[in-house]
Amino acid sequence: MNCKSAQNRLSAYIDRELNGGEMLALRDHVSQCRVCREELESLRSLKCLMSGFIPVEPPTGMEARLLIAVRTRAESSAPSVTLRKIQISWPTAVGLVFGSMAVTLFLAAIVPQATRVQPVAKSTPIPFEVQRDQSYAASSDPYGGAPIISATYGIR
Amino acid sequence: MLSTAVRDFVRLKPDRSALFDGLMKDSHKQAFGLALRLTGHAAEAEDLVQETFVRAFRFFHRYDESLPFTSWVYRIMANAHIDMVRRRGRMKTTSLDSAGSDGTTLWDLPDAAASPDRLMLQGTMDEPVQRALLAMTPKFRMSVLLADVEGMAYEEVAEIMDTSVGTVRSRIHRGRRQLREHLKKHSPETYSRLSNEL
Repeated sequence: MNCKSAQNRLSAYIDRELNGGEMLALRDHVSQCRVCREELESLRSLKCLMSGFIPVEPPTGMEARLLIAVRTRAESSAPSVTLRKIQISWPTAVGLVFGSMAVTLFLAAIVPQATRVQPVAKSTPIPFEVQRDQSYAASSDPYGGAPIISATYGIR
Repeated sequence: MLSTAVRDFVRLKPDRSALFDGLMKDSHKQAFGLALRLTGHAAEAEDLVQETFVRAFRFFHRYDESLPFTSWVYRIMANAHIDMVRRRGRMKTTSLDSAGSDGTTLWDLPDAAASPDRLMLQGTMDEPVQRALLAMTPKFRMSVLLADVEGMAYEEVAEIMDTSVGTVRSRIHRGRRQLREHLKKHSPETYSRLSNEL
């Protein structure tokens, strides 16, 4: 393990967040390298300094103020549900559901049964020449011959 | 009427509400401690705690009781704090056009550092470290505080901050180095005290 690699792992080493192999390799490197050893001790002292912070008591009356704030602020606004990234309030969501159901029932009631059945349109046969033209244009002319319209068309 | 009915339907049941109150009572002091380290100011810390618990109450139906409540609250706090910092950043934005209207280039901006109640920890031994913490970005600060002050494992920090363990590892390491460099530059006496402990 070189110094750069070791120094990048020093914090994780202090916090015991390396795997067994890495811990042993780093310990081995630190025992031989004075620069990395000093860096390790410096970071370890910093961690000790931070973890030795004296807990600070909350200001007087904070608990009561917190309780009131939670009740008034959280309950004053209508709860909402998040549908992916679209924010829809509960009343709107319920209104949309009931509205769509009402529209569906209304349409089902007013549209006569007869108008829903559409007569099948009769297909008109395409002239043979047009069919061949289309096949030719698509390079799939089953007859494999020359185009219907000859090169001399229009010159005469 | 419909709105009220729906609201009543989704409102927390009384037993859930009592459960929330109990959990909040047990965890608010610890939450305030973290908020104070994040903001460096008692009033801002109380605002942050309040915002966090209001959000927690609104989304309490999503809380999984098999997980520690404090971790869930810290996750909400991490997001609320970033929102707070962004909002404050926007509020501090001042148009260049507003300066020099009277022919001068002087600005009438408050000096946050000079405010007497800026730091609750002013004059204490923690003050230089708190200043160094405030000089860091919110994500680095939160990672270092959760690991060093709250004593959490990297995996827990990653869960709270909604990121990977690798990112947490990097943030903590870089954060500690930033702290040390800040102390070395702005508070050499604290740094030398730290060095003497080596």
